[in-house]
Amino acid sequence: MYDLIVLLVLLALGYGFGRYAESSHYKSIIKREKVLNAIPAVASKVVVPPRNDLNSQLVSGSVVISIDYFKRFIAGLRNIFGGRVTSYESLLDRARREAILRMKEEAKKLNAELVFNIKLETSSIHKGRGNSIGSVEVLAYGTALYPH
Amino acid sequence: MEYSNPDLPEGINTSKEHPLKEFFILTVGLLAVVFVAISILIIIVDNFADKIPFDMEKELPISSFIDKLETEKLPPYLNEITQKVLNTFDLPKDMDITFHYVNDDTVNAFATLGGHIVLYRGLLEKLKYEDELAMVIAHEIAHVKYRHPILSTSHGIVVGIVLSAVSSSSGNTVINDLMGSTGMASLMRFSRDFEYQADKDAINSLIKLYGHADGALGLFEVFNSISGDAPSFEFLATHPLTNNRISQTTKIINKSSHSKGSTKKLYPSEFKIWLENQKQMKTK
Amino acid sequence: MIVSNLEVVPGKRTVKHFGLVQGSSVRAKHVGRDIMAGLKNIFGGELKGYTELLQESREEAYNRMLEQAKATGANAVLNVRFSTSSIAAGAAELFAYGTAVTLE
Repeated sequence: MYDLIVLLVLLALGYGFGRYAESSHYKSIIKREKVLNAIPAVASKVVVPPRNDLNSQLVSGSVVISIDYFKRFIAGLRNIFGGRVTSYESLLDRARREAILRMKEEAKKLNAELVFNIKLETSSIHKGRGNSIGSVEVLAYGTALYPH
Repeated sequence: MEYSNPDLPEGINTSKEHPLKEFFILTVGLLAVVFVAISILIIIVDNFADKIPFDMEKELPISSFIDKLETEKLPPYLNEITQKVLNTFDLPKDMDITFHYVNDDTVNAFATLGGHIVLYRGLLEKLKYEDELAMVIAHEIAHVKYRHPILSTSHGIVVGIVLSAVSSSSGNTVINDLMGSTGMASLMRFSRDFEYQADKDAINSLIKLYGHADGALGLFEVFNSISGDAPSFEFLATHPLTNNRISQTTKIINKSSHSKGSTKKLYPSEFKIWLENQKQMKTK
Repeated sequence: MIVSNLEVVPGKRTVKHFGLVQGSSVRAKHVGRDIMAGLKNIFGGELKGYTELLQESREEAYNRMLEQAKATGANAVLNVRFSTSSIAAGAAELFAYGTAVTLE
């Protein structure tokens, strides 16, 4: 009986704090994107027209976001039934956008005009089955082009 | 060449489904499916498990497990009672029952595979009347008659296999525990049905021997007085709540034409002395 | 919509760049696929169930990327890359990204 109560408390904590963290994070992401969209980031490699007046510098941004108890529970259930794991989708979306924003912030410090050839790397950091700590790291890197 | 980063709409890479709704649907769905599927599986298993011939049951290495309990031969009084009760049952020819006695404080008696029934001194001491003792013995014999030991064992094996297959898929220990508990709840429902079935036969046996079934009510009253912190919820218990067993007994007695409130036979004094001696021997 | 992992599409000129568009999808396997995979671990062979699962997932990620591209008003996506990562026990994220452009 007590195990059930502990489980429910953990789920409630995970859900409550998780939702709060997610919504406040998204607000921050949307706000910063509006500002940093001034520095376009593209996946293309070749600069057209060739801008020889700009210097180039590798910039990167990374973030590690942890999975809360509630999300992990739902993922476990999904493993039995199959289907889209929506709890992880929002997690990864946040992490990717945050990583790109941090990369752009580094580019902004250089007064960059553009960031070219963005690549993204995602990896999960977990201890293994059952007791998985469950966090996701996203790294975004690209070449920033800034004036002399 | 124009480079820009326009605002992209939200919700393309995420879903708008509310997580709590998903949580409830999945959890309730899973537990319901597990409960129903296991119940169906058990009913199917029952169809096959009782076709296992009793001879095969007898060959199972149960005797080595029982020997570890340090069982002894029954004293003459117990022998006499077990024979009397056995005679009220109409068991098939190859179903032989072997009784064992264990000089231990444990308040219990059980029937297991191969027709072995074990009686502990602890339970015998708590009773005062021969009727109540006969009820215990008759109840255990009824378990063997209906092949409950082999059925329960088969249930356990099958449920274990199915749950471990599904558990290995989820990889989340909490969910595995939840599924395990639900599986247990389903199993225990069948276990309780077995208890009710054994009670019915035992009451009929009492009526054949003594003309009334007060021994059954007496036994359940003893259970009530012993169990200090018994669970108040039934769903994970192997036995029904004692009060429920009393209700079933009363219903059966009322339906029959036999009297209530009749006198029960007390233990003969030699047996009481023998029990005392057994207890002394243990504490030495 | 033209989708390519080329930098420059032969015969066409890129007029406008709209930046990075991404599509991702996270899917989990279910008990049935898992049990089949367990058996295959003994007998060997292609895990058709998992292949199908990841294919569906990749298609969904790809479509989401195109949805983002359409929202910008582009008519092509260039420099497309795919990536698969395992997120937790039993769930994998399929990710597709590229640059949304207008070609002429």
